Amino acid sequence: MPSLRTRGFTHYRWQTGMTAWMLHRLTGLALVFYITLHIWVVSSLQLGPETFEATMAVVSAPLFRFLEVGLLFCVIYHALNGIRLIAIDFFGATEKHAPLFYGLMAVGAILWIWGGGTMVGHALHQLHAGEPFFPF
Amino acid sequence: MNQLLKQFGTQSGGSTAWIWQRITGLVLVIALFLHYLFLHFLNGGNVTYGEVSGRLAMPLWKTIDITFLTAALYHSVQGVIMNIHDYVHRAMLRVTLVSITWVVGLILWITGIATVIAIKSL
Repeated sequence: MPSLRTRGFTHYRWQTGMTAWMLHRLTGLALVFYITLHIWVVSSLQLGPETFEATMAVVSAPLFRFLEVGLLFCVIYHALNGIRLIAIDFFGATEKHAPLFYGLMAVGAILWIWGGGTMVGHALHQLHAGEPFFPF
Repeated sequence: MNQLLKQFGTQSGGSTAWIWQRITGLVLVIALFLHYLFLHFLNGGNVTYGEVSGRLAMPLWKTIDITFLTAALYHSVQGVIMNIHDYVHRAMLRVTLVSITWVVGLILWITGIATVIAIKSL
């Protein structure tokens, strides 16, 4: 019998449930990375208004607006798939898990296009006003 | 010793972590909705010191934010530990990584709490 480990990444079965689980992990790890930076950035509130506004000016640059479109994807995906997990674990949605996934993803796509579109709009507006893409 | 390390952190079978991951997850969905509504929607996307400190002067908002912070960090720490348990099979390394995760989470929690409590309104 071949060892599971040697079969590596191809061992994953790319069906709805497995793909949903894998994306939940990846977006979760991305969110852990983000919350670390977020707590650090917001802690500049302790250093007074000038320092905080200066920090906010850096993280409001077009570069970060575009990165935040990716962040929004992670937040929306992780939250909606998390609701699906709770529906499966506590409300007997196991047999309907796949249609539930696609339904929630449709809602998520609308939210992402709406929010992400607003963010890209902000970034383009800033670039048009002559603000540099990179804040440093 | 090695047997002790192998069983480290497995006494509860993970059921406590499992149920709390769901409870904090639900708290986070609600808190994130409020977060986006108040910080990115109702104020037109402008986060200023005056606005943040004005909100955090209210005990209700301090309570909401500390709950949000605590739920988010518990959920994050537990999520990272789940990944460690799934992919790190060497006992000593696993214990070390789980411990580092808790310590980093605790440092972030103290940083966040200090920010929420210490902020002075203009």
